[in-house]
Amino acid sequence: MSVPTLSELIAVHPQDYWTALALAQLQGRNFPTTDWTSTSPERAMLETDTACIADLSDNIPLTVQLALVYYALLTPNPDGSPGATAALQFLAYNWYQLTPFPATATEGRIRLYCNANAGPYTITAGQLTAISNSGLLYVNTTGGTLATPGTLDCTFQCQQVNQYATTNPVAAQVNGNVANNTILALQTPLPGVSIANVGTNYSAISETSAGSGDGTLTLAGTPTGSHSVYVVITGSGNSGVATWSTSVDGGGYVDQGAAASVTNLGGYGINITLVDGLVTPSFNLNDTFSFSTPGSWVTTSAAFPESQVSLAGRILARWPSLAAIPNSNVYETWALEAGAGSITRATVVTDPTLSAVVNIYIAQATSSPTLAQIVQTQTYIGTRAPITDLPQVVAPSTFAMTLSFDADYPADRPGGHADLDALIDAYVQGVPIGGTVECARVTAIAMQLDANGTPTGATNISNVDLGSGVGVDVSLGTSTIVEPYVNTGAWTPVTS
Amino acid sequence: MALPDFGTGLDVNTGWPYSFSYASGLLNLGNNLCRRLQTIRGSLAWDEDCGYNIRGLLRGSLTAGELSRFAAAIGAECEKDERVEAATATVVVSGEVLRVTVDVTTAAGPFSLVLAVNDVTVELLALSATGAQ
Repeated sequence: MSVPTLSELIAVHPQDYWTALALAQLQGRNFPTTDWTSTSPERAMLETDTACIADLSDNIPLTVQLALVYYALLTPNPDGSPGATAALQFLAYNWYQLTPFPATATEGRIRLYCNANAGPYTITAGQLTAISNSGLLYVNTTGGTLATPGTLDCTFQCQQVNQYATTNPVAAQVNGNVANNTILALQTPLPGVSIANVGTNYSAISETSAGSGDGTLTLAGTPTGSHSVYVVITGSGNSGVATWSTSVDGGGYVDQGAAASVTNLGGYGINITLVDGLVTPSFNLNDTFSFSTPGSWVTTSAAFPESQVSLAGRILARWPSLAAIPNSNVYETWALEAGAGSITRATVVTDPTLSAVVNIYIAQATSSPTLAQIVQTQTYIGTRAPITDLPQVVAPSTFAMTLSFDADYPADRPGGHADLDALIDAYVQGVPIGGTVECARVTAIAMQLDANGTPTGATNISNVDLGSGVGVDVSLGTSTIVEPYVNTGAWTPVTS
Repeated sequence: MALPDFGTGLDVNTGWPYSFSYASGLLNLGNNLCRRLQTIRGSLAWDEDCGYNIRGLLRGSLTAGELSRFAAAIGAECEKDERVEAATATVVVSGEVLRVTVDVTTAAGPFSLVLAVNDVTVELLALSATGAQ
């Protein structure tokens, strides 16, 4: 018997095909029956059997498709990168009408400064190209009027997108999420104009709500230095009645009483005001808010092209998406699709208190989502969810993490250890919502062992500490991501 | 002249027997017509135009016009079998039973089919050739 071709395997045959096949088989075997007209009992029995065969055979192409998808999933890229393989992309497009999300370029705020001897200028989109200290280029996508003297905030987009490492990891990997105040030059200079990618005064506020209160914080002032702040409600009530405490930089909590606001918290210029929502009380016991200063200049994080695992997950979720009632996988897939690659992490948590509420936590590749992304995702899902569900798209809680380690690397290693730090940072910041950050994983990424077990990165790494002790993994809360994050790893060049 | 072949099939016209035998010729054709007249139209996925369930005709008193219409429909249904050249039927009410007589013309000559129909069964009372074969 010859091996069937792929076309033969995935061909769907109707019941008539199987009936004709069976008749041909019976007629060649001296079967007594010669009457196969519509009203013959033998015809009725045969049609019953072939109806079952046709129904079962309908699933064969689908089974073949799924088997090929799993094979493509298990077959990695030759260069070992986690991007979707060409085989999986082919199957995803031809059988499931899915295309992988492209890489997302960094977008963020860059401030233009005009001195008193120049301008005013009318800035148009696309007019300016800025360059970072690391040589990345950014072009403005918004404009406006730059007064004399004056400042103007414009949105700039990185002109390079993340690519997975190939043979030259340093050159191939791009991450436009550079630090604040590292984009300081214009390649398209304007007389009297300087630039800086200044961070916002504050990061986004993360909230863990203990009840149904909808109170929020308003942040003001001119904070100085880098700080992390936690606000905990110690007594329920509206603003001016609720009691609360604050903690700065991991220090002890300071009782703020029933004050509606506090100014110059810790002497750092941080002003916090409790703002009531529509519900009374707006603040519930144990509600927790957290934020940091300064915030990032980045509004849209860079993201790599869609990974193999992510594309495979969307393929598998295509079938449950056809059902009348979506499951968790479907909501997660919708959240990823809404962002078209800018949202790379999503997790669904059913509400423990309110039935039918589906809490969908989303995050960018290495940071919390923006308000615009939350609204966009809420709208996308809202048009698809059944009326029996109440989907709520929310930002995850954040967990501040400082990574430290001691590592040696070959002094003559091309590019030093910058690529290794980039990979470590991408891993820690990109841990799935509610996932676990593993010290062993940091070690493996730093060392980059080849097929023979020989390190191609760090030759030695020790004292990996995620903030909970050397070698202690950190399990994030159910709806939590790592943010803010600082890599304080110490690298020592070693001459062999 | 060789007689036309009406095929060979299981000798079943109503109900399912405990043992099987085969029928050929006019008996096989008659069995097919008997089964056709017990099949609800549309119930056969491979032939949705097949069937005229004569058990459904029993519903209290029947007028002459209704009986005439039933007879025409039965004849037309029998003519759907490609082995039947022509068919005419008569329907007579006898108490709780309908007596259906179908005169069938085939390439092998005419034959008569007599059925007794109540609300439970369709019984083949007689099948006999009526002309030169």
